[in-house]
Amino acid sequence: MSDAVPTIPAAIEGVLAVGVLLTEFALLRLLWVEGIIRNYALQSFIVALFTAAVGLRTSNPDLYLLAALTLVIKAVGIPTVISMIVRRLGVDDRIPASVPVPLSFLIGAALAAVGFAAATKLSAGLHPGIGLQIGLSIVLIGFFLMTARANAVAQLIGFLSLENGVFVASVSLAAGMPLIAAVLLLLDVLVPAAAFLILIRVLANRHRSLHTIELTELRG
Amino acid sequence: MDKVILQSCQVLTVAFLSPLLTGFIAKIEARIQSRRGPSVLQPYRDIIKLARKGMTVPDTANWVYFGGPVVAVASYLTVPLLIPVLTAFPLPLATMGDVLGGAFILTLAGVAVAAAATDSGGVYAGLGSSRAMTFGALAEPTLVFVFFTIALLTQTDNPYVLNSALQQSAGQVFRASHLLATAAFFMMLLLETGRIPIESASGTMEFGMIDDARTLEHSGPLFALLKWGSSMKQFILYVIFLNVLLIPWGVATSSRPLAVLVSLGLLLLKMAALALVIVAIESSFAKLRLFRITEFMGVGFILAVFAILAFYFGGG
Repeated sequence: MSDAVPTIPAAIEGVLAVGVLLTEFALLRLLWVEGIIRNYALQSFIVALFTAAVGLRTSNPDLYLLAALTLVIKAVGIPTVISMIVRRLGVDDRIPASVPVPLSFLIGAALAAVGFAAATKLSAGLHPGIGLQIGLSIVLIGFFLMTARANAVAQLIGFLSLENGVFVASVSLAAGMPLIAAVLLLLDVLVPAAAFLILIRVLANRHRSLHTIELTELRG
Repeated sequence: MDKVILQSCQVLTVAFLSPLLTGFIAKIEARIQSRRGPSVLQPYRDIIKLARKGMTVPDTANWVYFGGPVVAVASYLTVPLLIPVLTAFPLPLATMGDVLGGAFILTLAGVAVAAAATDSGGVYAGLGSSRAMTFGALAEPTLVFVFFTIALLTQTDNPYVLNSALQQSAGQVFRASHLLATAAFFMMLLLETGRIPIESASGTMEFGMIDDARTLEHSGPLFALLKWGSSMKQFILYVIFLNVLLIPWGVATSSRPLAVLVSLGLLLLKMAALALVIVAIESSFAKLRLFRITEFMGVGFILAVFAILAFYFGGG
């Protein structure tokens, strides 16, 4: 617990980080495919703003470039491709909620509390700000989202948002990270995303549905 | 200016300017819907007209039916003593209760209206008060968390001291936990003042109504009191939201008449701005189905929980 009043740049950074966490909760609430894709785009947009804000605080120009890349790849590129593919498949837009929305919220809040507490223990006061805490919370909620929604696109978005959490944590923890490492981290996400998209197409073509229960019938 | 006079001015401001706020919101809303709309003074005319009329009282009604509206209005007139409506420094009776004390008094008013509505024996009035109490109970934890957060941030829970603590450091106002708490309070404000997405305030009879249903069985002067009371409640909550949480600046720091007048003008400007935001929300969202209101409350509660988490673990 700290009583120090943060400076305005640090406060803005904190607000943006919390914004990322709130969009993660919005993912738990949305039960239609197009909605969660758009919401993921919004989350990535806030992540880009957050990266730029950290760049502003640490006056590190590399982070501006990273923010621009995040914007292009994660806020525009990936969501557009996913929604294009899903639209072309023309399958049911609804996402079955194996865990109902209000309960998901409570579980999400509990996971966020765990994330906050654990990250605070980890950083042991060395790291000011809220990025690491929020990053860890998002990772936990992202995992939960992947287990609680039996829909291939929802699971893909859960995974991608989990990666956003890792990104927030790494940017705020190691703002001086070499740019090449940060870009690698950013591109890392493309491989599993591509794998997921292939899985989605296979599912849709064989079963006319994105329900992951059909996966049990996928045999070699 | 004498502090006692100032304090009376705070109460009079709430009492006599609150119908103006209600009328202003109705007018703007009408304009957005391309209607000419009633005059901004219409709520005053309604109250005066109703006050002159006779009453129709249900056979089953007893003193609770008559006492409820009076208790409610008395409570709404007490709260302005505790909150910084015009001045940033504590006035003589300001220390008799803190934020939670004010909240208790507002709750007392709500309970009095609900009891009066139930006592009337009317089905819709009873339904309305049961709904209002249910959602009120759901709003309570959020509000408690909001005020705990603010109290943690500023080391005080007296609204006046809160206001001056926030005035002194802009960083306080922009830190994540404060903004989250403010957002949570805003959601509860929409609930408590009966605005969309909770219910449509320009309501005709309908099944989804909550707050407005409670007044269905009252008529004449008692109905006037209820209407006036709900205007005052709205005004008080706007004052708390604006002067204590969102924009702590512009509240008079000295007791010179000019400073107080400027403060009053700024308060009205802030209210007009907030009213525009509320009208924008009312015009762009649909009313939530009754059983989805719990989801709305859930979001508010999550915001308030995050405010506390951000404070304890993030220094934000």
